[in-house]
Amino acid sequence: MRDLSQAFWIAVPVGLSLVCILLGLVPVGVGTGGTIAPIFTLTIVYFFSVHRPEFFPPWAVFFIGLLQDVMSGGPLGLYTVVLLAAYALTHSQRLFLMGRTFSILWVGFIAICGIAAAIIWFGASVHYGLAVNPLPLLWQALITALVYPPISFVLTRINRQLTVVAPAA
Amino acid sequence: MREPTNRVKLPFRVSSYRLSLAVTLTLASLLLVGRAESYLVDRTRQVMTDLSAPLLELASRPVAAVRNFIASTDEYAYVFEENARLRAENEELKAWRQQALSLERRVARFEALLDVTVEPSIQYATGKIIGDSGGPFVHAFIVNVPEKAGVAAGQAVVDDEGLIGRVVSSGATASRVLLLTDLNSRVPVRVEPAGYRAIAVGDNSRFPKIEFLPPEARLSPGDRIVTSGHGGLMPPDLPVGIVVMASDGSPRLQTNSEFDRTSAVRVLQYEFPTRVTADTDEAAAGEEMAEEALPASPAPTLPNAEPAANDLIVERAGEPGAAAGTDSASASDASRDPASGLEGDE
Repeated sequence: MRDLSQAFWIAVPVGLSLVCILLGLVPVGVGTGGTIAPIFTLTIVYFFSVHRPEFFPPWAVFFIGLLQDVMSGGPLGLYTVVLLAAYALTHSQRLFLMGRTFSILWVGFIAICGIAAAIIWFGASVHYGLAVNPLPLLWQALITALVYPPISFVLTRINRQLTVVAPAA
Repeated sequence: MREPTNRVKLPFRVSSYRLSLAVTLTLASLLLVGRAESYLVDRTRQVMTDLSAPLLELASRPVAAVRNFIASTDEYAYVFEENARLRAENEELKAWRQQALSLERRVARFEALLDVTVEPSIQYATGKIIGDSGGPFVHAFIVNVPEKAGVAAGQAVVDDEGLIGRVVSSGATASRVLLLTDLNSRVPVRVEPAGYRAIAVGDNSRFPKIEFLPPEARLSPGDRIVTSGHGGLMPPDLPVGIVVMASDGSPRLQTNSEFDRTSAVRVLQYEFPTRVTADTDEAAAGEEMAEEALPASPAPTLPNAEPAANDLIVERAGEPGAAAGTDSASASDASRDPASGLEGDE
C-alpha cells in the first residue's frame, strides 16, 4: 500500500521538473550574450534529494534528465549525468544537510552548481571533441544558484503540504 | 497523530537505491560518451517539441508582453532623435531607390538577352519564437511554424535584419531552428565586396568564426557577409552580418540580427533553380558535371552541389557589374564556361 502511495507521490517532483524544463525553454531574451537559462531541474533534484528522496528515485531523475537533454537539443545524456551526479552527491550528504538552516542548504546548492558546471564542461568537451568555452557554464551555474532561494521557498511550502497528506516515508 | 515531519526517516531500501543509481548513471554516461544521436532521437525530440509547443506558446505570451513593453518605453525615450535619424535616412534611401530601379531595369534587359534562369520567388512562412534552448552549448529556437506550412529541414530562417539560422527539424505544431552561433552550425557565405567564399562556423560564442577563406583573402572589419547559396539549401545574397576582428586577429562574423531581441522569424522555402531548360544547356551541364564531379563536391549528400553552384555563378555573369563591359555574345560564351563565369563573378 505504501509502495502505491509512493509511486503516486513521485508525480510531484516529476511534474515540477516537467514545469521547470518548460520554464527553461521560455524565450526570455535577457541579452546575456546567448540567452542562457538556469538549470531549473537541478533545484528540484537538490531539494527532493535532501527532503524527500523517497519521492524522487534515481530512475525518475534519469527520466527527467533524459527529457531535458531531448528538449534542449544538446548532447544526449549530458543533463542526465549532471542531475544523477547531483542527486547522488546530495544524497550522500543528506544526513548532514537535513534540518540545517536555509543558508547552509544554499551553500550546499552553490557547491552542487559548481560541480554541475564542471561535469557539463567535461561531458560537453568529450562529446564535441574540443575544450568548450567554460564561461557560459559559469554564468549558468551562477544564475542557477541565484534562482534557488525563490524556488526553494515554493518547494518548502509544497513539501509542508506533502508532509500533511503523505507523511510516511 | 501524524508526525509533523519525516526528517528522521532514513533512506529506504538502501541497496536497491544504490543499484538503481549505479545503473542509471552508467546508462546516462554511455549515452553521452556513445554519442547516441540517431533518427529515433531526432524524431523523439521533434515529437516532444510538438507536444510542448502549445504550452510554450502560452508561457511565452506574458514574457513577450513584458519585452514589448520594455521595448516601447525604450522607443519613447528616443523618439525625437530617432525621428530625425529616420528622416535623414529616408532622404538617402530615396536616392538609392532611383538607382536601384534603374539597375533593376538594366539587369532585366541583360537577363532577357542572356536567357538566364530567373531566381524563383521565394515562398515563406512566418512564425513566432516560442522556445529558446537556453543551454550554454545549444543555440536553438523553437518556432511555431508547422511542417504543413511547407517547412523542412535545411531551410533558411531570417528575421527583419538577416539570416539567423536554419531549420533542423519540423513537426505537427512547431519547428526547431539551429542558430548561426551554435557549435553545429555551418553556413556557406561570401564576403563582400571581394566576393571571397567562406564558411561561417558557429562556436557557441556570440561571433561565429569565418573559416575556409582562400589564402589570398584580406578581410577588413565592416566587410559585408552574405549567404553564397552554395549547396543549394539557402538562397544566395541573404544578408548575414559584417566582419569583425577578434583580439587574436582572426576574422569573425557579427550577425546583423540580435538573437536576444528577435521574436518573429520567417522560414524561406527556397528551391534551388534548375537550369535545364534546353537540350544544349542540358548537354553543357552534363559535361560540366562530368569534368568536375567528385573532387570539388564538398557535401556527400548533395553530389551535384558544386557544379550546380557554379551554374548559379555563371548565371550571375549577367549581373550589371560583370556584363556591363561585355557584349551579349561574349557574355553568352561565359555562360557556357564555368571558369570564365567565375572570373566574371569576381
